[in-house]
Amino acid sequence: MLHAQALSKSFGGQRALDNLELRIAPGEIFCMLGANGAGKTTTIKLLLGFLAPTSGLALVDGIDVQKDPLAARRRLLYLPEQVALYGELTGLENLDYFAGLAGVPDRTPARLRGWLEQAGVPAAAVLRRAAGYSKGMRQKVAIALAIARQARGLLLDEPTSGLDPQASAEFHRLLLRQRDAGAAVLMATHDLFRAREVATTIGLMRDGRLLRTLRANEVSALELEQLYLDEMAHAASATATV
Amino acid sequence: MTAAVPTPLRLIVRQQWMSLARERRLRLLGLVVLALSALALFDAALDTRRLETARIHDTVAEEAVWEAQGAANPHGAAHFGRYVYKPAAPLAVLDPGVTAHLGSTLKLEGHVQNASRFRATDGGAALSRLKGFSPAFALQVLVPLTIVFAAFGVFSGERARQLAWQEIGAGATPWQLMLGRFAACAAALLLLLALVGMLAALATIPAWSAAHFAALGLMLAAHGLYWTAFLGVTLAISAWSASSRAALFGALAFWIVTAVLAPMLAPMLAEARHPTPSAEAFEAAVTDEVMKGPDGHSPRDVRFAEFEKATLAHYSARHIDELPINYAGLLFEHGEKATADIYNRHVERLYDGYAAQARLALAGSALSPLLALRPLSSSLARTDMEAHRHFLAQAERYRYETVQALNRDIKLNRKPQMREYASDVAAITRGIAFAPQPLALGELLPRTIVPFAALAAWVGGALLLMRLAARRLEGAA
Amino acid sequence: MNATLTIIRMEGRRLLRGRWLLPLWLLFGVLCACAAWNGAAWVEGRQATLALILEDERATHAMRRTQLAEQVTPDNRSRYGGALYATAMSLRATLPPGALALLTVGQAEGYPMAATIFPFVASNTIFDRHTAGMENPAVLAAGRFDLAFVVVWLLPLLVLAGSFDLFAFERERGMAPWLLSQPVAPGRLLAAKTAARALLLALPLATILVASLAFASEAGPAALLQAGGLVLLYALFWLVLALLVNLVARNAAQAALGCLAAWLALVVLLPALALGVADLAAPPVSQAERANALRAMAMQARAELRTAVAPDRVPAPNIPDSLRRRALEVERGERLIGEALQPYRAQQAQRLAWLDGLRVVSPAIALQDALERLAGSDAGRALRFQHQAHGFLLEVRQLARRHLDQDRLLTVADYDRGLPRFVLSEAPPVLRLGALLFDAAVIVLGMAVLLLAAGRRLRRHATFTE
Repeated sequence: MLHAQALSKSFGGQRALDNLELRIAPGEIFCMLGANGAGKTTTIKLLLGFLAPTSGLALVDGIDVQKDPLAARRRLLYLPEQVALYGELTGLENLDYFAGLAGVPDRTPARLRGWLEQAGVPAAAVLRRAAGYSKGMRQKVAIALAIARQARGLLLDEPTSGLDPQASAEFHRLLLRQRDAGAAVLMATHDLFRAREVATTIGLMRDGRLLRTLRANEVSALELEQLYLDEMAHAASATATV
Repeated sequence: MTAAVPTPLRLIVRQQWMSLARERRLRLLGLVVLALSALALFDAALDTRRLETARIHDTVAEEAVWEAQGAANPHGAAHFGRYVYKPAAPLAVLDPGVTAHLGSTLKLEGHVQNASRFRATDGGAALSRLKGFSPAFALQVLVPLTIVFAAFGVFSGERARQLAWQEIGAGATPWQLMLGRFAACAAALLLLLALVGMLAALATIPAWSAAHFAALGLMLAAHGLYWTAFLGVTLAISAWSASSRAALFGALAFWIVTAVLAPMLAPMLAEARHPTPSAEAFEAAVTDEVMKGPDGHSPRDVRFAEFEKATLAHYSARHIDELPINYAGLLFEHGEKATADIYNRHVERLYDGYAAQARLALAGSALSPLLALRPLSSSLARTDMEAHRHFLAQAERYRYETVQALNRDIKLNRKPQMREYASDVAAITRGIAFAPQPLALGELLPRTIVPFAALAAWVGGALLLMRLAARRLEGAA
Repeated sequence: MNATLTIIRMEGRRLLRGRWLLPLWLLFGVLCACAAWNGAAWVEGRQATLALILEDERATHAMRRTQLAEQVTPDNRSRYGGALYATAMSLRATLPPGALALLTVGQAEGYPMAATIFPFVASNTIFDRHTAGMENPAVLAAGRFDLAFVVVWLLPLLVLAGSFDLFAFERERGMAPWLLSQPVAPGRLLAAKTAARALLLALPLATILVASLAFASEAGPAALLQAGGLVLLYALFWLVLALLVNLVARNAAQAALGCLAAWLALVVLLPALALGVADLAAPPVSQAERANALRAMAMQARAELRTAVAPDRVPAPNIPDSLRRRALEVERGERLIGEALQPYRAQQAQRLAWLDGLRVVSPAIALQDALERLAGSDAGRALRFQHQAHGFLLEVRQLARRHLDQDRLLTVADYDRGLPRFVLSEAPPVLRLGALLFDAAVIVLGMAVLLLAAGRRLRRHATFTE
C-alpha cells in the first residue's frame, strides 16, 4: 500500500532522506523512531506529495504520488502532530467539511454522528464549537475522518505528543481498530514503549537513513530502548570523531 | 575601579535599540519611508524652482503688457487691470498646506476684489483626484502607519509577552519595560526626523536664515511630538491586547480614524457649521450693498446725488462743468474708496468664517493629533490661509494705490473739452511698486501656542495610557 | 463541484460566525450614507449657485423689459442701451450637475460651472467670473468625502480587512498541511474560499453602494447597474489581490502588511508617480503665461483698430456706429485669440490625453475616472460644456451682428419671446459607455495579471508546507 522505492531528498547540499526502501502492507503498522531531523517528517511529506523527491519514487497503492497527488491523497489520511480544526465550526461541521473535501458522499448528520461516535467523540461534544476541544478530542475528529473516508493509508506524525496517558491509550486502541480494518499505517513517533505495543514493524532512523527494521514482537521494550540508545550514541560518537 | 552598572532602564533601552536596529523588516521600512520623503522633497524642490522661474517670467511679461498700453484711458486701464503673482514659501517643499487649492495669481482691477485664480488643481482629470503625495503626507500619514507596523508587536503576541514576563521576572518593572521600549523607538523616530530635517534644509538653501531655521525647527518639533504621541498610543495598545492580531487591528483602527478619517471629516463638519458663501452669493452680497448702501436703505443714485451736491458746494460751483477738477475722476475716486471699504468688510467676514472653521477643526484635535499638527505645520510653512490673507492684504493695498492713482489722473488732468482722454498709464503707476513680504515668524507664533499645547497634551495622554497598559502587563504576569 | 460548494458553504458559515462581517457591512453602510448625504448637500449647493446665476440673468432681462415697456422714449433712448441693443445682451450658460452627481465631486471644482456671455466680451473671459470659487481651501485640501472616496479609498481597506487572512489563517495555525493533505487541489480550495468572500463581502458591499445611490439620487436603473458593476469589479480586484498576498505571506501579520503595502502602492504611490510622469511628459499649461499672451493680443487688436476712426453718420443710426467698430474689434480680437490660444489648447489636450491614458496604471485611477463619468463630473463633460458655451457665444454674436446690420433695436416682444437660451447637449451615451468599458477593462486586466501571478506562485509552491 505505502511504498518508498530508493527514495531520497536533499535540501541544498543537505541530505534529509537517503535512499529509503520501505514497504507497508495493508493491516500493518510501521513505526518510525528517530530523533528530530532524522527524516521521519520528510518521509511523510514525500508520501503526501508535499515534497518532490530528489530521486526515487513514492507510491501509494501503486500510484506515483508525484504524477497524481490527488489520487494518492484520496487513499491517504494524514494526521499531523497538531490537528487544527476551525474553531467557529462544531465538531460535526468540521467533519462534514473535511469529509466533503475528500468527496465522501451522503454526509447526513446521522452518519456524521456515527463516525464521530466510532472515533470516541462524546455525543455532548459533537455540537460544540471546536474552539473548546482538547488536543485528544481534535485527534478523534481526525480519526472519525479516517473512518468516514475509509482511508487505506494513514500517515501519523507524532500523534501522541502532548496527550495524557489515558488519551494516548485511547488513541492507540482506535489505531489498532483501523489496522484491523485493513489500513496501512506509517507512524512517526518518539514514544518507544507505545511503538512496541502497537507496531507490526519498527524502523530506526538517523540522519535520513533507515538503519534497521525489527519485528515488534521479536524485541522487548527494554531491548528496543537499548538498541535505540546504542544507535543514537553511535551517531554522537561518529560526529564527535569528525 | 569597577565600571558603573547600567540601570535597568538603560539596559532595556539599549537592548530594544539593538533589536530595532537589527530587525531587517524595520530597517527596510525606515529606509522606504526616508526614500519616499526624500523623493517627495526633491520633487517639491524642483517644482518650487520651476514655479519661481515662471513667476519671474510672468511678472516681466505682465509688466511688458502694462507698458505696451501706451496712451490709454486710465479708467479703461483700471478695468484692464494688472496681475500679481504670489511667491512660493520656501518651506512649502515640506508642507504645501493649502497652496495647491489656492490660486497663485491675482487679478487687480477697479471696483472689484478678486479671489486668487489659476489653482494647481484646475483643469485636471481623474488622476488628479488621487494626487496628494507630499513630504507632509509622508510625515503625517505614512510615518504613523510605519509606527503601527513597527510597534504593534512589541508587547503583543505570545513570543513578545513571554519575553516581557521573563524581563519582569528578572527584575525590571513593567513601567521600566514600557518606558525603555518607548525611549528606544522614539530615538529611532527622532533620527528619522533629523534626517528629514537635513534634507529639507538642503532643499531650501536659498532661503537660509535664522528665521527660516527657527520655523523649520518648530515644524520638526511639532512632528516629533506627533510621532511620539502616536508611538505611545501604539505601545499602549500593544500592551493592552492579548493577541498580536488584536493589537494590529486596534492600532490600525486608531491610524485610520486619526490620520485618515478625522482630518477629512473635521473641515467638512466645520464648514457645515460655518458655511462659506459661494462666489456668486458673495458677489451678490457685495453688489447689493454697493447698490443699496450698507444699511440697505440708501440707494447708490441717491448717494451719488448727495455727493454731487456736496462737491458743488465745496467748490462753490453751480454745475459739474464748472468744477476745476474732472467730476468723473472724482466720482471714480470716491466710488473706488466706497467699494473697497465694502469689499474689505466682506472679505474680512469671509476670512473670519474661514478662521471660525479652522478653530472648530482645531477643537477636533481632541480626537486626532493630526488636527493640531496640520494647521501648525502649514502655519509655520506659511502655506495656510492666514499667510494667503497676508498676501492678499498687501495686494489689495497695491491695487487700491494703483487704481486711485489712475482715477486721480483723470480727476486732475481730463479737461471738459476733451472728447476722449488718454494718458501714459505706465508712467502714472511707475512709482507704485509691489514687493510682497512673507508673514513674519513673530506674527504667526501666537497662533502656534494652542496646537503645540494640544500636541503636548496628546503626548501626556499617550504616556498616561502607557502607564495604565504597563500596569495591565504586570497584572497579566 | 461538490467539494467546491462544500468549501464555499463552510467558508460562508465561518465568515458569518466570525461576528465581524455584519459590523463591516454596517460600517460601510454608514460610510456610504454619510458620503451620499455629503454629496447630495454639495449638489444642492451647486444647484443653488447655478440657480442664482440664472436668476441674475432672469432679473436683468426682467429689469430691461420693464425699462423698455415703461421708461424708454425716443428722446431718452441713448440712456437705455443696455435694454435696447442686442450687443448688450447679458446671458448665462450653465453646466447642470448630472443625475448621479452626488457620486463624486470629481473635476467639477476644477472647471468653470457657468459662463457669462456678452456678445462683445472676449471669448477667453466668459468663464472668468465662475472659475475662482470661494470654497475653503482647507476643505478642498482635506478631500471631498463623497461616495467615490469611500469606494476608491476605503472599500479596498474593508475588503482587505475581511480577506487578508484568506489562507494565512490556516498557515499560521499549521492547518495548511492537514488541509492540503485532503484530496482537493490547492487551486480549487483557494478559489472557493475567494468565491465565498466574493459572495459575502464584495457583492453585499456593491449592493449597499447601489442602494445608497438609489435612495439618495434619481438615477435610472441603467446608471445604477453600471455603478454597481464597476464597484463589484473593483472589490473583486482587491479580493484577488488578497489571494495573491496569501500565497506569499506565512502568517496573518505578514499578510496584513502585504495587503496594506499593496493598497498604499496602488491607491497612493502609483497614482502619484503617474502624475509625476504626466507632469514631465505633458506639463500643465501655465495659466498666467496664457493670460499675459491674451492680454497682449487684446492690446494689439485695440491698437490696430484705433487708427480706423470713421466720422459719425448723419442722421445717427438707431445703434451707434461705435458699437459697429467695437464689433469689428471683437471679431479681429477673436481671430487673434484663436491663434494665440492654439498652442495652449494643444498643450492642454496633450496633458489631458496623458492623464486619461495613465489611468491604466492603477485600477483605483480607472475607477475614479469611471465614477466621474457616471456622475457627469468628469473633465470631458466640463470641456464639452466650455466648447458649447463658446459656440453659444458665437451664435449670440451672430445675432448681435444681424441686429447691427439691420440697425434693429430689441423690443418688448423680443424679451417676451425669450432671448437666446443655452441648453447643454450631453455626449451620446455610447461614448460614455465606451469609456466606462475601458475603465472596467483596466480593472479586469489588473485582475488577470494578479490571477496569472497567483497561478504561477501556486504551481511553484503548491503545498505551502514550508
